[in-house]
Amino acid sequence: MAVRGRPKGSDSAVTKEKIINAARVEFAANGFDGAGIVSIAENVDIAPSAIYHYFQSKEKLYVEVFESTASAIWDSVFPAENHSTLVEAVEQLLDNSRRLAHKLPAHSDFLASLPIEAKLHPQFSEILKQRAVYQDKTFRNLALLGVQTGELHFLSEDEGTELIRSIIMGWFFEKHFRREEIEHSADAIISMFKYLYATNPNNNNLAIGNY
Amino acid sequence: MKLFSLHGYQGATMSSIAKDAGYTPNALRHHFAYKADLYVAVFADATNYFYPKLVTYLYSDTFEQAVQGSMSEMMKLAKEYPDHIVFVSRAPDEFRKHPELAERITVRDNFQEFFYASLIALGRRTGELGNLSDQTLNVFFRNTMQGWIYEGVYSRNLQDTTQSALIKLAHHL
Repeated sequence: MAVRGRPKGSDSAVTKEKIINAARVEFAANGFDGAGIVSIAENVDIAPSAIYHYFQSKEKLYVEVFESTASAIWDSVFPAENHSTLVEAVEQLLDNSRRLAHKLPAHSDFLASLPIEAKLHPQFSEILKQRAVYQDKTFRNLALLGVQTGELHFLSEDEGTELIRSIIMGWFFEKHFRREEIEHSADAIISMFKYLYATNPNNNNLAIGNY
Repeated sequence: MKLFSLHGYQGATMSSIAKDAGYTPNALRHHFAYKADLYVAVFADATNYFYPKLVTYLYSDTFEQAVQGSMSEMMKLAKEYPDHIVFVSRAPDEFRKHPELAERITVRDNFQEFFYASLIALGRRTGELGNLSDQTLNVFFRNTMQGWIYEGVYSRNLQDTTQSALIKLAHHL
């Protein structure tokens, strides 16, 4: 039974935070349409009408969940340290992504379902654009590194960006859909990048072998 | 299929589907007792639009041609039949939310396993694929081409830049 009225000793900001966290889980599990304000309210132990005190609409709530989620996740995913090789940077990216999915599963699930929700609900096109800007920056930086080291010497910067995007997003989406990584998918990706590292004409020592 | 694409499996109702098709809900239920049955049938129908076409590229002379051709075909089909492509590509998300659908629809997984295994086998026969193991190549190409499709369907159009990148990568192997 939901508690009516303002809970004793509550801090407005704390409650808002709790709503966002509960909403994130609900949106990630059931999508925008399927998400229930009543469910979210129950999880925070307030009346559904109280939610509208903080967020004028379900849409506005979704957008705020996005903003809170993106800022928490995106800065942590991209390899912070400067890597000297693309293969190391990719390894770190997969590792960071994996750790975050483990530590903050609702964040990861929410972001993964964002493009599908935005396709169904054109009013979210703005946040989809923000996602695109962030992603483009991440993948292009990786491609630039690969072009500089020579690991992607046979590709243009644009081609490198798109290739890395497909590789990483393929891994990320399948992991999200199946709730676990496809067996050997990370290994295969790293093996490919190790191969590109080994066959880099800029290397002093070429290591040929089976991967 | 249009309604499944627009509203998802959960959102599309049997009565709205019936109305859109010009049937009464009862007439629809005569053929499809449950929404799941309808979804399964729609899925089988949708995949018929493009799986057979993609298979023809497995008979290419070279691995590079097979990759190039099948990706070009996908880009063409995405323009010709956007609803079908979106519908099939959204399936994994629907399966995640509705596991009972996943149990009944194996055609997508089966097709992918067949397609990528055949693709790698072609590359082995021609000798185009060098030092990496079959498993690595299979998983890598499947992962990357599916990633290309997901990004193309969900956010932006299928990029031909990715196609040229993959061809050059194949050439480099």
